[in-house]
Amino acid sequence: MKRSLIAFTSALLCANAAFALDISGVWMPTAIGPTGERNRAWPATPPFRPEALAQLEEYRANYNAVEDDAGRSCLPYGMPVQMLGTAQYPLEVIETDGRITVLFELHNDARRIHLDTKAHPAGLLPTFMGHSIGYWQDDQLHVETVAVRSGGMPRPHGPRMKLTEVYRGIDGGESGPMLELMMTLDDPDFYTEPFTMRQYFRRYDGLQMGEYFCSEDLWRLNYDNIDGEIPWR
Amino acid sequence: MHAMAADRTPDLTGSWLPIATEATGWSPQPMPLTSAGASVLAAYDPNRNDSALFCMPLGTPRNTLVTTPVPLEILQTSKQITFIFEGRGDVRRIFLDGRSHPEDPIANWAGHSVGKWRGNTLEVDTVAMTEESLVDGSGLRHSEQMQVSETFELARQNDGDRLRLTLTITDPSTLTKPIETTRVFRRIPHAEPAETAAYCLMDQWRQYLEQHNRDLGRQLRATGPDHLEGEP
Repeated sequence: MKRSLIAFTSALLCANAAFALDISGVWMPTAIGPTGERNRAWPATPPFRPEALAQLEEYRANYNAVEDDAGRSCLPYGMPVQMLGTAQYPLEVIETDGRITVLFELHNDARRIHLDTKAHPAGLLPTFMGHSIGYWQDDQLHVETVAVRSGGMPRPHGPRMKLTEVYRGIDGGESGPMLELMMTLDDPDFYTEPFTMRQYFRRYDGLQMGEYFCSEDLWRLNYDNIDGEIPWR
Repeated sequence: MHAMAADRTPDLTGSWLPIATEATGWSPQPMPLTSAGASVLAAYDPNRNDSALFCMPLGTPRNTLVTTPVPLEILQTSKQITFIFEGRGDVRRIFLDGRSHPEDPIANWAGHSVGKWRGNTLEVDTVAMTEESLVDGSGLRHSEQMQVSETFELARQNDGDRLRLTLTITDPSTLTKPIETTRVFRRIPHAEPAETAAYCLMDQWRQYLEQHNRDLGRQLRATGPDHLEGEP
């Protein structure tokens, strides 16, 4: 019994062993970690401030499925949810001098992480992705993001939100190399204390990124008879 | 840490802005259109056929032919060159890893691009572009047989780098012979993108949703909610 427990524990440790991370390439978010444990992405009960909870309850009471879902309104999810999705849409990481660029198939979004900038510039306009700076240390990528557009219901955040991300490579066993993201959200306007989430990604080398255009329905409404318009068809 | 291009290969990584005054028109003129090409051009209706009005991408080659001052961001590694067009959020990937086009590619907006370096010049060949896209803002259309050849030449000038694009289109359905045009881009400092594509969706999609909600409401009143399973 004791021996098998040791074997099990060392297997766990082995499966979780960090390795030199080559972050470039195509990754697929997954809900299941290397040893079968689930993500701890957005918490079931985040430490909401009472007034934030009241806003959330109001949002839920007036929820309109057509208008209030970011995906349905074709807007980017933005940070932090941008990195926490488990739908099967890949992302591609491209590393160039002083920069990491993340291209998301879902909603055709892009995120930039500046490795050659030590501090966030002053006077940033808030965007869906925010402004990200990062650095490598011991094969782990550390990223800090500010200036994210407020909103994000039902996972809300305010203008002072700061996100800290740490990415490391782990051996996913049969799943191959995996990427583990630990993300800490610190937002004094909405939460009483910082909290940390975890997301896993699997490496999908060779997968060609597809196109995703959310407004395709809108396009089709106006343009649904291409065959009738094209003489060579 | 990352895959750098070989020493002698130019590095196009950075932000580029088209110089409208240095763009040339198509040659030869008059345009060598087939009768089918002429008829679809005559039938062009921007309110229905221009993807840009619907927050859709411009597609290849229209994305590289734009002359409005919207940045093109280029990311270059040894295996791939990626274009991100800020205006519509178009993304193009040009594979440099020696692969060929797929035998039976599925057409999409960006098409399938492969490229190689010849000295200071990047040569790109693109196939499989959807017939829903336009060649350029004039309303010129194309078939799925269209082939786009581009050369991007890096020129270093005293007042900064230039990227000179020569773009040639072959399409037996719309053109009796190839047509060619040129563009020039200048290198600019990287600026944080404005996420303009998202804001296009915000305006246009709102209008669509309002109409959609009215339609849904009518449907609900007429048929009850059971028929709305799986509705967006």
